[in-house]
Amino acid sequence: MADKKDSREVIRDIDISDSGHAYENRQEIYYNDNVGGRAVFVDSKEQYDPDEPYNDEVFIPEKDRDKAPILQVKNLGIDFGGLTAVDNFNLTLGRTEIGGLIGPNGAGKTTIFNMLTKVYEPTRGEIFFDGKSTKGMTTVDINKAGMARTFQNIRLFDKLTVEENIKVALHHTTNYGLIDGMLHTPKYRHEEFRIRKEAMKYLKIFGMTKTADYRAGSLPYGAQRRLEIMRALATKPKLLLLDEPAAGMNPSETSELMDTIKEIRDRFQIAVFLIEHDMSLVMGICEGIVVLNYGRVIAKGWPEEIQSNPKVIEAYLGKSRGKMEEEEEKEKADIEKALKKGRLESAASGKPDRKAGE
Amino acid sequence: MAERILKNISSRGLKNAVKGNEYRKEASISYGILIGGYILFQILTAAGLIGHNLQGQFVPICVYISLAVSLNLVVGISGELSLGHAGFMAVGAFSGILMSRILGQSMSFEPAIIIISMLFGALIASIAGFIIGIPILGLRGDYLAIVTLAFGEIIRNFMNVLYFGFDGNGRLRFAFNHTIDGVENNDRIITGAIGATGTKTMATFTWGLILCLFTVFIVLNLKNSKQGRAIMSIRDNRIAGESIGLDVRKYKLMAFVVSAALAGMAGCLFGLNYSTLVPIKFNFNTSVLILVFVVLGGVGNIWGGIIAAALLTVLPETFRQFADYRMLTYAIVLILVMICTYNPAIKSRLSGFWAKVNPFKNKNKSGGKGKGKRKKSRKEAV
Amino acid sequence: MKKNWTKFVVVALSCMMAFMLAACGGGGSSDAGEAGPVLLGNTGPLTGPAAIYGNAVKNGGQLAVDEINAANPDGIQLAWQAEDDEADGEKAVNAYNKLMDDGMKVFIGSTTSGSCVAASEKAFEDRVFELTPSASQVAVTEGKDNVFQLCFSDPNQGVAAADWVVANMADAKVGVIYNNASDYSAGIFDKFKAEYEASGKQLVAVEAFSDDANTDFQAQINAMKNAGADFVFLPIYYTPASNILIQADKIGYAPTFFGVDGMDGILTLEGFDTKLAEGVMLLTPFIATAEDEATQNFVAAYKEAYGEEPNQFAADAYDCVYAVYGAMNAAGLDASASHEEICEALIAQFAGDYVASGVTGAEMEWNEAGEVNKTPNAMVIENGVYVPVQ
Repeated sequence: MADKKDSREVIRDIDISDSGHAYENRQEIYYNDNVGGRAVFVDSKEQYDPDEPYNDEVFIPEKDRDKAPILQVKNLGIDFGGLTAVDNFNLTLGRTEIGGLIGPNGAGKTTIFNMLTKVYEPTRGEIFFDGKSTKGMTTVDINKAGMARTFQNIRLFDKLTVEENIKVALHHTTNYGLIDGMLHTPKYRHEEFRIRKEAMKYLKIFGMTKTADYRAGSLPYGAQRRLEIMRALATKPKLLLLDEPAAGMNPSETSELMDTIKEIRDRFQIAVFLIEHDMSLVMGICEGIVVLNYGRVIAKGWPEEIQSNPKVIEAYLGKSRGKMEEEEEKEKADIEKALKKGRLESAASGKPDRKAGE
Repeated sequence: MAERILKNISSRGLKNAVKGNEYRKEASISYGILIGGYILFQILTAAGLIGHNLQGQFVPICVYISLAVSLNLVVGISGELSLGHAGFMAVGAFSGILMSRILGQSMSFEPAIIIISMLFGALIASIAGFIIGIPILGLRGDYLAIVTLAFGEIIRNFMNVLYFGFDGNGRLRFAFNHTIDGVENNDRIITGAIGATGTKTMATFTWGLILCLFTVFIVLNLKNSKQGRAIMSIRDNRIAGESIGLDVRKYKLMAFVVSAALAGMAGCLFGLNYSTLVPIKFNFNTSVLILVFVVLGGVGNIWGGIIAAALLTVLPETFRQFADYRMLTYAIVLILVMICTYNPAIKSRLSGFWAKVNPFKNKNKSGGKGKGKRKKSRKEAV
Repeated sequence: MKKNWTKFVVVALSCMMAFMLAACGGGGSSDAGEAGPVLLGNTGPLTGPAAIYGNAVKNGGQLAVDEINAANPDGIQLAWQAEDDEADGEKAVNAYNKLMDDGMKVFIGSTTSGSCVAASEKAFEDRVFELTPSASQVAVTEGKDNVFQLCFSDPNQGVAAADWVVANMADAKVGVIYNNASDYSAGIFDKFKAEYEASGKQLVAVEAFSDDANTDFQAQINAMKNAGADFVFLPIYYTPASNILIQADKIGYAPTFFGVDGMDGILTLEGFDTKLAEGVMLLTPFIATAEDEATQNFVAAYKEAYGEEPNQFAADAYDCVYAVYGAMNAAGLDASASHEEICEALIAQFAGDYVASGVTGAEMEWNEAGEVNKTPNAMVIENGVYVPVQ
């Protein structure tokens, strides 16, 4: 585990938002047909003709192909007033896949999450979750059906304790009524004892048992992010949507998070779909990646493809590449230095280009 | 490895974190204040040290404490501003009085009459809360506050045209105007704007205490239950609450209805403490008064509300020597107290002072905390 | 700066504590054999919208006590204390209890009805004799042998008004505008309607308003006009009544307005053009412009003491004090009597043949139910003064 960590810490930490404008001028159609039939870079207008939906089931990892996909999205689109925020979004997610959704700020990634969880009602298209259409479902129904999410700007129950935050998520499996709750009957005691143990189990996964009695709102940033994931997980979802889970984390924390996400997937056998700007995380754990810009899918593929395709790199990361590498070198040097001093953590968290401090 | 992937959060990382759930502490302080106060005042009364004036206020104090605690369920725990609490108090008061009169015809065992009347008052008030809650709980914040205000007034105005009385056969009849069929004027129990008259006053300090304890018991238990957590989650973050499958309206309604039921119960005891009760008593002013108790005691703070309700009920009476300037003095003191309790500099000074004199200093860490805060505030001041 | 704040807080808090202790400590000093002046207590709205009534009672009572003490230095000396009850039952009980703490011997009732019912319940339990100057509800005296009214009870006033209208305005088309949020107004209306309809006639229009909306009466006035009412009964206080007069005048609607004792005061209302009140009739026991000697003396003394003309409430309180004083003398009580003794003696007087006279009635008698019997006067406003209806 130790060497894993080291190698990951030096993986590029690219904030795509910086280079997002690079794609602005790109109008040409590129369709890469020669990588085993898997499309890498497409022009959305051409490819996603509403009459002939694009079949992207090929993106499901091998291991999930014999099972029905957990999520199928067809030609999803939403307009706000006259503005089309997302259009022609297609996605198929395998039962136990970890999928990634990347794209510059304002590309519509969170909007897609909001449509999936019915915070917004899509204007067009259909969402099939676990084989069933989610039309007419509310956010609450979606969660009950088995989809849980985290938020880009952390939304914890600030004034409740960490433990209570988890217990709330265990709400539907807590089996007592209002009268039991008001009178604290034996049934209440029994159930509360049980869910406390269960909550502690979740806390243990994330190494946060010590924080159980603290108010969620007063925790450090990284811990809040972890708690939010735990809370989503406690609702026992089949699909976990993570909106920038690594935001504000330092590289070592990010690396730990990656392991945790994988561990969660393996242990609970669920699918994960995440939005992330931290390329080290996306490239490290995602099995399939969708790249979004201006509300449209501009690329889909395996991480290696997205990463290695020269066209993608040029189009997506092109302009600021030189600068990026320079920074990367510097960062590498810094970390190596810090490692020598044995003070990895403090150096990493002191990095200037972090999005948000703890 | 399987069990512990992430490094456990170090204590150092939690140095700015705040301990959260203080349910036990809150409960013991609340019950302690109520029972301690009761015993103290019973002893003082027995010793003849308490005058009629204060003795006469024991029941209303208990009622206001109970109202403050129940309103805290909506304002503090559910996080919605309600300006119609007096309306539910009125519903409970009048339905409770009605029930006590009906029972009084055939029963003479007062405790049973009081208990049944209070439960009946709570039931009717909770129905009122439910009916009102359904259409309005889709609203948020200021809008909800304004609508609750309006509903409180509607309830009161409804009482103004409500007439109840017994007919010749001892059966209860009602009407929406001055003359009820078959009811002699003297047999009317509730007569519109004149309100309920001829109520047998049964409320005592002990019943007041029981009411307070019951209210605190229900509210604190609820707070520390699955339902309470759901209610507080929705208060803290509505969208996140929905995202984990909490039905927002259901839990907001639950808080509203339970609060209304408790207010109805308190209203009933209030009604049974006076031989007459007019609907105008339950106007907007009373709703605001209860809200003031809650705000002064600290929104969400149960025992703070208890103390605030007791003090602010007694306070205007203690200012009687100011004669014409009584209410002015009361208002000024209220402003001062509000400023003082919510001024962080003063608050930290007081907590610093408390740290010095706190007899439980060694048992918990509040002493150290207080000092820390004090230091901090000094730094700020510099 | 911060230090000053802290001091301020400490001072404020210690003041609060001191007052509370003072309030708590008042208990020991009540009655039992002290031969000081006999304390007469009153509770009334000294603050708030009804303060004008409370203060009138307070002043009227004080005037009577001062006169009696000055006139009879060797007789029973009286003391007078009025406490604020904000016209609220709960506060009235508090105020009443405060008076008990201060050693009250006789309770000169609460000024307003709602609060008086609550307070008189306590007076009944404590056996304190009560004579209310102006609380007119039946419930004030109902079932309480020691509670008497000096004013007409609402039903009696409503009944008297209806009888008067039936007898004197036989052909009138009668409409009523009343305050359905006021127990006083609704109480009178209640009886008026019953009595009036018992005579086989029908009211042509009945309109209600509430305290929350007592400035705009367009709707009610138009309803009266459309129903063709030429005689409008206003069982309400004078402040909303003045608005009705103004707004009726604006649309050129001029029926005969007929008020009750609450209408008294309309001529002294600030900013009100008294010309609009010309022709307004009312039933009232007291008129400050009456020619008899007692009234003139009272009005003169009141004006001298308080700089304004007394209204009916002041007169009621004034009469109450004299009535109680007279009854105490008639019963042969002295200042050392306990409130229980005074109570029983005065009940015997009031429920018996005791007759008092005062500025609100020459011969006032009480029945056992506590109601007063005196003759109301129908008055009409002419040239800005009350004149008896011919």
